[in-house]
Amino acid sequence: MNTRYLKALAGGMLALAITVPPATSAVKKKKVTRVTKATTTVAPATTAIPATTATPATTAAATVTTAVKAVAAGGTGTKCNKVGGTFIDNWTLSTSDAQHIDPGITTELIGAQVINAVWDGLTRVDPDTGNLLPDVAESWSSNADSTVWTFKLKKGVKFSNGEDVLPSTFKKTWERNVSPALGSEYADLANVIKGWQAIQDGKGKELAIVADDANLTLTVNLSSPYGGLAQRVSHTLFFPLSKDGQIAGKDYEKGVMIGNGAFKMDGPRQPDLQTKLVRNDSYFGGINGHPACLDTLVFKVSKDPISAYADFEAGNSSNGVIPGGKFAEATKKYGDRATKAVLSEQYLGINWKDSVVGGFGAAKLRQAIGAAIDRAGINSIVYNGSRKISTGFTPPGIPGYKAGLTQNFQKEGADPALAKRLISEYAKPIPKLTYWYRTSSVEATIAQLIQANLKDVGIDIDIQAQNPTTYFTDVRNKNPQLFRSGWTWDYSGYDNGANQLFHTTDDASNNLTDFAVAQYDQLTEKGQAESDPAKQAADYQQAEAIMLDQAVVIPLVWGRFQTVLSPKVDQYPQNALGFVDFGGVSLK
Amino acid sequence: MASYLIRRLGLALLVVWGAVTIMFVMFFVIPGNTIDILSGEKVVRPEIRRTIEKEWGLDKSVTGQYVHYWNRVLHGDLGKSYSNNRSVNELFKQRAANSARLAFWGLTIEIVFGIGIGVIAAVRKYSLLDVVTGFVAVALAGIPVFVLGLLLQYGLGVRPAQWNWPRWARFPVQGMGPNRWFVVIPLGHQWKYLILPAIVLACVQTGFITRISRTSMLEVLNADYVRTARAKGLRSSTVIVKHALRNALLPTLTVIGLDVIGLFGVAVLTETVFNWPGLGSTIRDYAFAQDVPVVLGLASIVVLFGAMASLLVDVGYSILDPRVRLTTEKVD
Repeated sequence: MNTRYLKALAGGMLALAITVPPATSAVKKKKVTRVTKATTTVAPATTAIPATTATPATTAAATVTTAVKAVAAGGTGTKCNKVGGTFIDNWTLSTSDAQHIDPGITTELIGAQVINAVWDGLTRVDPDTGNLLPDVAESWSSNADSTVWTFKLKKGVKFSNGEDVLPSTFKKTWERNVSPALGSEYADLANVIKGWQAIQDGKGKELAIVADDANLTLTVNLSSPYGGLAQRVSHTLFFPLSKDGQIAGKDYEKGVMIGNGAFKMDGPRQPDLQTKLVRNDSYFGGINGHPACLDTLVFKVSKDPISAYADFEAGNSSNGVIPGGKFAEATKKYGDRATKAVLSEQYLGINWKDSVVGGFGAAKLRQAIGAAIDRAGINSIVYNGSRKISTGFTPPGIPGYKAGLTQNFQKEGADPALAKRLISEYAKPIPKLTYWYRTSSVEATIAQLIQANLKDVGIDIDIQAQNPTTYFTDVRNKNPQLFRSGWTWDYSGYDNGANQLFHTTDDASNNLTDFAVAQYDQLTEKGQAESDPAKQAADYQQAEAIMLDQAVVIPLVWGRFQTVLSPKVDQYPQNALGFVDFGGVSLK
Repeated sequence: MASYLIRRLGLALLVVWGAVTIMFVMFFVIPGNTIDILSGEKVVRPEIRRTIEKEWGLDKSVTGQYVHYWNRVLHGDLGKSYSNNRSVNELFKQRAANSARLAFWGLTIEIVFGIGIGVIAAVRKYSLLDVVTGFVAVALAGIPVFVLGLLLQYGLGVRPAQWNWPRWARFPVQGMGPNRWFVVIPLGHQWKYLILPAIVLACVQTGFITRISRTSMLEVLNADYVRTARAKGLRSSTVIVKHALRNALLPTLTVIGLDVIGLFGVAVLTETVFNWPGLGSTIRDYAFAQDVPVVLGLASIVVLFGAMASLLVDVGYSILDPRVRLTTEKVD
């Protein structure tokens, strides 16, 4: 999700609190998706694809059956121990209001959080297990080479205004969302679908999708093999819009939008104040199999996490954000029920094409930098010890995750002896290196810590604060030797993270390190086209191991939610992407 | 008088034009490309780039954009936000009322308490009251706004809730509440949401005004005409209110006049801490995002307001002190 600019109160406030609000994840860059160049003929036969990628050993058909049965039996999610009540959320929008709450336009986790309460897509990530669950889709399958995907929709799914949610609803919505006229930053997420390029070029208006409303099947033709479509369509870009939304422009979100989710809008949102939702009584049940437990859901807007926390402490909200430096205190007072791991990574990037730190020849130098950095110290000082030290790039929770892909980065603290040995093996003079960070107090602290760590092993770096608004463009265009960045997964797929960030032909230019290794490219392309989850994971793991061995990034910490819950909250299901399943939230 | 006002009005407009022009130029000087901001820094294909440039008038030269901007503004259109497509006119309507209400009450507290305490301290010079109010005034002027805000939030909002004080004794720590007003008068429970931010907004300047009022009042109380008034046997309250206070208010009025601008347009910290959606915090938010139309549009109005406030202060001088004549005529 896109990084909210690290908004700071003027000077002194920042000194008072180093804060990493939920949507901020330090420095975080929006991404999109690379299209695999290979093209394959569509095979007529279809093969069922597992509804979950976390159980690769399970047979596909059996997995789909399990999921469908679970929903039919009342859902895989949370039951309501109590129905009714108002949940006031002061966590989601604790640093600013969402820029957008239109599913086709939003680029932020905070906007998507609101959207996920109002809309349901074809699939959804299980809050408990991280597995993919059927949502509006009853089941799905693809042909042998994953170029044609068919989603079978559930019967009787309706929008809150009574309109049916049909296959054609999805087709029309997707075409609206990828149209250049709308200018959605996430339109590239659909670039695997045939017809997407023609729409972008102004040569067509339709995606190669067959919507059979009578049989409730949605057949999606891809321009190249892609095994992760079911995960990708869990993204907000692919959520269905009602008829008025399908033809609406950017102003749609100014009024009352119609969704098919657990809640509906009570009126137009009040920018910078709140967005109020009420239970959608015509909801089809989603992954829980029942309407929302809550009567009302209010997303309260704050502009300062410290006062948002004060508001929570005053009993005015059901959840709240833990301001920087207060993690230990807050979890001691209110428990750690809502501080689970989030699928995000904070890292130090190193430019692969730089004449000093780049290329295969500088691997020892990069590894030395990694060994010299006291990541446990950063976690302790900057994150109040709340994060988990990364031992790889892809975090636990991503289907296919495997620990120990590399020998690098296994030690949490600094290892100056190893760093010095690697530097001596590198055997070249090391000039003063340039380190860029996006201006903020958090980033300044990290930069100073890293500078001190590297100085201890004889590496001098010049730390330079950069304009937050243009930071990633500047990193992309000016190629600093070392730079800070981060990544939060948009959907629970291995391909969304590491493998899209380091591919040579990354269309979305998320490859900030300029990493370019043919073997890595081949493995990720193979993985992307693979429909067998186990084989796909193996390909991605091999690719990631290559990248980590080369130490083109120094992983720092994996993310964790900084959330406190009121004792009045009973159930609070939240998946590792950060989305709270508000349909399953209940009060005591 | 009329010619003076016309001249000052012209000057005020010149100030607005100059300020807006400087801001406009600065947005072209600071790093950052509008297309990158609009596209979220994603690499944009040339055809999309051209579409965006045309839509936002960015295909014109800087001069062309400048002319286009003024053309729009003079037709009453402040433009649309780059980042979320919101109309700046609408944004202004929403935020200005919030800012004006908060500023009104902040200013009222400043005037009532600042001048009141200052006058009492001067009249009871060197008394315990004078010492205590002097200490409090300096302390108030020195406490950073956000610290005071947080202290009040915890002292009057959080702790009372944790100690289970009755509802009426607790203050909300954030937000606008029901947003029910009669012009600037809060209705129902609205006052509970207003009081803490208004106090915080007023505190720093109340300290200054207290000290300035006291000093001015002391000077005036020692003036010959006040002694004369006392010698004539006038009541002490009449001497203070009718003779001394009116003249002592001149320097205070200058401070208050300048403060109006600060309270209305740039109360960034108070608005942020209490999540009061006013102009100041809005300008700050959009400035971080380099959202030129919003920042220029709202800041222009704040500057215009400031220029008008300054003009009113000058007019106020002539009312308070008839010796001050608003005229362009030369005095021999």
